Amino acid sequence: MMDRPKTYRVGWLKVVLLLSSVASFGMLLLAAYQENFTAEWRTHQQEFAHVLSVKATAANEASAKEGASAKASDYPIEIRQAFLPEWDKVDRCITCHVGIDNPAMQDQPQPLTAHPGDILQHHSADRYGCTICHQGQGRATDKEAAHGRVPFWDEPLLTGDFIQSTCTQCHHDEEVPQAPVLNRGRQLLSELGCVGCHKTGETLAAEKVGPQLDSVGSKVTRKWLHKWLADPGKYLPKHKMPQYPLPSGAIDGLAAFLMTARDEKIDNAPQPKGDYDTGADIYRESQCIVCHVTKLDYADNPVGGHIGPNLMKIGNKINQKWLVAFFQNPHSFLPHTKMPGYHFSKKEAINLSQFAIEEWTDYDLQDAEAEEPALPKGTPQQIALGKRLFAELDCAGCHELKGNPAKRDAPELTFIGSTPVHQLTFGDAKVPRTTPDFLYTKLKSPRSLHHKFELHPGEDPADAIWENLRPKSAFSASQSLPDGAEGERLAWLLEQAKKAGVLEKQLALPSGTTAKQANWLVWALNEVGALNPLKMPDFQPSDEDTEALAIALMSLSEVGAPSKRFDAPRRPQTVFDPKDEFGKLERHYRCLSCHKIRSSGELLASDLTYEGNRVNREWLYHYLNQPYSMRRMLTIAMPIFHFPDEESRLMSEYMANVFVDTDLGAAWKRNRDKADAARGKTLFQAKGCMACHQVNGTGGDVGPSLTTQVPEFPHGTWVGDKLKGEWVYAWLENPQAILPDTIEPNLGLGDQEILDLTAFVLSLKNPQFQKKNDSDSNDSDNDNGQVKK
Amino acid sequence: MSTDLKSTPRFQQPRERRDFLGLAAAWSAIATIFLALLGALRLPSPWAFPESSRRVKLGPVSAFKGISITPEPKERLWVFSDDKGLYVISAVCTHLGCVVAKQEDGSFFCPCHGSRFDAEGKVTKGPAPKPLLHLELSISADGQLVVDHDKEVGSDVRLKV
Repeated sequence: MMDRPKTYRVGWLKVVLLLSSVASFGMLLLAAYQENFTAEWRTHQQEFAHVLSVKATAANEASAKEGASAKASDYPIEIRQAFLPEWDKVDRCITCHVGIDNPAMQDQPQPLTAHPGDILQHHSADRYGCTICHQGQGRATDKEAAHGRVPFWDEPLLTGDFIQSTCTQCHHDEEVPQAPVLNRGRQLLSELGCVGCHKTGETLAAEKVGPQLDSVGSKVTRKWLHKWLADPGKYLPKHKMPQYPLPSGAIDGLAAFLMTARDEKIDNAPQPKGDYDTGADIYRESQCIVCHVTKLDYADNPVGGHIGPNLMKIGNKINQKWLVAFFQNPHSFLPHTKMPGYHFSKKEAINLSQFAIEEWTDYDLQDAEAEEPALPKGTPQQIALGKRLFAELDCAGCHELKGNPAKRDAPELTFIGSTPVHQLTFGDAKVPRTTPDFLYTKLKSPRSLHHKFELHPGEDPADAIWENLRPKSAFSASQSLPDGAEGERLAWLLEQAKKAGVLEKQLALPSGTTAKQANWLVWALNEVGALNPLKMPDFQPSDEDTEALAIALMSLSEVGAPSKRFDAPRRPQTVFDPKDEFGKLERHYRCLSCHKIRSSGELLASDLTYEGNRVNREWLYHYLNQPYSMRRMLTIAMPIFHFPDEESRLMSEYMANVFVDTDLGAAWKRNRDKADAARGKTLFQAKGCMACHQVNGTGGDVGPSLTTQVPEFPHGTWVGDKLKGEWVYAWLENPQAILPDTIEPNLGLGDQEILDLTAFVLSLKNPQFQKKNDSDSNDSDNDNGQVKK
Repeated sequence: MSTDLKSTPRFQQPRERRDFLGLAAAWSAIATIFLALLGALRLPSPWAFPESSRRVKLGPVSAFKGISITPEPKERLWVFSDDKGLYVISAVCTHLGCVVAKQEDGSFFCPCHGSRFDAEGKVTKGPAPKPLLHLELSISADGQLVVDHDKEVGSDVRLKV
C-alpha cells in the first residue's frame, strides 16, 4: 500500500514559536550590539580618543607629543573607575568624564571636559573619587542612573553651590576657603539662633542671639513691644527677630507677659533730664557710629556700623530711665555684648540718653502713635497666656529670661542632610522630592510644606478642630471643649477663635447642616493658618541667605569620612583671654570687639598681636589717653574712654612687654649700625613711596601720612616718634606676612635697602619733640624702663 | 508503452513535504537559546570588577626626577632615576612574593628564603627563579608619574623626562 504523504498543517503553535523566537533573537542581537558597540560611555571614550589624537597632531613637537600621542593611538575603551574601599564606594564617573584630570581638555564640552579650578590638585580623583563631593550613583554607567535622578536613589547629583555641603565630611569645624556659601550658611545658622530651638550636635554658645529680657518691661514701651511682636519688619526693615504667625490675642498675651519683666530700681528712678549738647559731645567722643547706625546719608542710606543695633528709632521704643542705667553699666544688662564699658558718670549717662532720645526719634511716628488709644495693662489671664506662649514658642531659645529655661524641643537637625527623602514631610507642596529642595522651601516659607488640615470621615469635627487649633496656648486659656449638640460646640469654637483674635468679630456660622458648618469653620481657620501645627517662625531670608542656610543644613550629615586619615587638619584656635589685670580691663572695655589679638577678636581696628614690637610705649600711653584718627581722610578713631591714669599706664606697659615677638625684625637689632638714613632717603624717593605716603605735606593719601600732626598731643606723632625699627624693618621686608590683606606692596627689597629705608623712616621725627626724645634715649626702640611721668 | 510515472520508484517512495514553518520555528528557537546562552556566559566576566586600578599615579614627575631612589612602600616598588630617565623595580620577590629589602650596596635581599638580586634586579642567588620585575612607567595628562602593575618591561627601558 502506498503511504499517503503526510499532511503538514499550519499549526498556530509553530507560528507563535517562530515569531517569538525571531523577536527574541532580534532583541538579543540588538542588546548585544548596544552593549558592545554603542553604549553611551563607549561613544564618549571614542570621542575622547579622537580629541586626544587631534590634540597630539596639533602639538607638533615630539616632546609635547610624547604623553598624548601614546594614548591617542591605543586609547583603551573600557570601564574606568576609582575604587575607594574605605568609603565603600566605586566611582565609575570617569568612564564618561574621561578628561576630568587632563588640563588639556579644558576647552571640551561635558562630559569630556577637565575639572574646573584647582580642587583636584588637593583632592585627586584616584583618592577621593567623585561621589564623595558630588553625590550621585557612582557605580552606574548610564547618565540618568549615574546622576542619581532615578527612583529610590536618595542622593542625586548635587548642583550649583550645594556641592559645598559635602566639604564638611572631612573639613569639620574650620572654614573651608573654597566654599564661601557654606561658610556663610554656617555663620547664618549661628547668627539666626537656629540652635536655640533645634539641636544640631554643636555645643551651645553661652550667649543667646536675642537680647536678655529680664528688664524688658522697664526698657521698652508697651506700644512698641506690641508692634514689634506683630511685625518686626515694620519697625526695622533689617531685623534678626523672625515673625511668628500669631493671632492678635496671642500677641496681646505675650506683650502683657513681657511687660511684667521689670527692674524696680529703674521704674522708681526719677525721670532724667539732661543736656542735649553735652550728650552730643559724649556721643562723638565715644564713637558710637563705629558699631551703630546713627544717621542717614543724603540718599537715606544708613550710616554706621552693624555690630550693635540700629539706633535710628530708639526714641520711639526706649524708656530713657532704662537707657541711663544701661549706659552706666551695659554688661549687667547684656553680659555678652560687644559694647565696651565706658566710664560714664550718672550725669554723663543722663546727658547721653537725652541726646539719644532727642536725636533718634521718628517724630512722625511718635505723633501717629500719640493718636492711637493707650494700650491697657495686661489682665492676669493675658499674662498667664503670654507665659504659656513664651514656653510653647520657645522664645527662651533666643532670649534669656529668668525662670523661663529653653526647651529646645524642635525637630533635631544633627543629621538633617542625610535624612532619607521619604522621611521628610513635603505635604502637598509642588517641589521636587529632594533634600536640597526640601530645605530651601522650608526655610523660604516654612508653612508651604504642610498639608492643609482636613476633616476625616468618622471623627467628630468639633473634637478634631479643637485638638488642632494652634497656637494651643492661645486657646486653652478657656477650659475644655464643652459637651452638647454638635452645632453648639462649633459655635463655641468660633467664639473662642474670635476671642483669641484668630477670626474677625463679625463672622458667624453659616446656616445648614453641622457638616457644612464644620467645613466652613475648617476653611476659615485654615485661611488664617490657625490649624497648622507648625511652630517654626518665618525668618524671611533673602534667596541667597536661604540657599546658604540650606547648604549649611545639608552639610549636617551622618555621612562622614570613614577614618581620621581623611580629616582635614584643624587649625589650633587660640583664644586670647588672660586672667590677669589686663584681661580684666579687656573684658571691661571689650578691646576684642574692634581689635585682633592672636587670632581672637575682630579686625575693625589694628591687630595688636605685635603692638609691643610696633610702637614705642611712650607714644602708646599718650595715645590711649588721647586717641586720634590715623589717617587724614578717616573721621573714625578709637573712642575716648577717659581711662584712669593707672589703667592706661598698665595697658601700655602690658602691650609693650607681652605683645612682642622677639624674632620680628631681629635683623634690624643686629645690623642697625650698618643702616644709613641718607641712602634710605634716596631709596624712598626712588621707590616712589611718596605716591601713597605724605612727608611734610607732599605725597599721596592712600597710606597713612608719615608726618602726622596732632594738635595738643603730648608726644611726637611722626612715624619716627611712634614706630619701632624692628617693626618697620619686618614690615618693609614683607608687609603681607604681618597683615595679609594690606595693600602695601612687597617691594622685594634687599637686606641693606631695608636697613637704609628703616633708618630713614625712623629719622622722621617731629622736631618739636626731638629734644625730649634725644634726652630720653637715642632711639625709642631700646626703652626698657617704665613710661616716664 | 508509455511509462506510468506513478509506477517509477521515485514516485513509489513516500515523499516528505518539507515542513518549512516547523523547521524555521525550531531552528530559530535553537538559535535564540544559543545566543541567550552566549550572553549568559558573558555574565561571569563583567566589564569591571570593583577593585583598585592596576595603573597607579605615584605623584608629580618632578618629585622623582633627579632623585636616585624613591621608595613607594604602598605600591611595593622603587622608582629610580638615572641619567637616561626613570625606571621602576618591583619589590615583590619572584619566588614566593615576599617584599625584598634594599641593601646598602644597591643590591636586593629577600628575607624569606635568602634570594639575592643585583642592583638591576637580576638573580645572583636562588631560589628566586626570575629577576625582579621592571614595570612600565608613563606620564599622565596632568603630569603625574603612572606605573602599570600589569605591564612588565625590559631592564634597560627608561622613561625619558
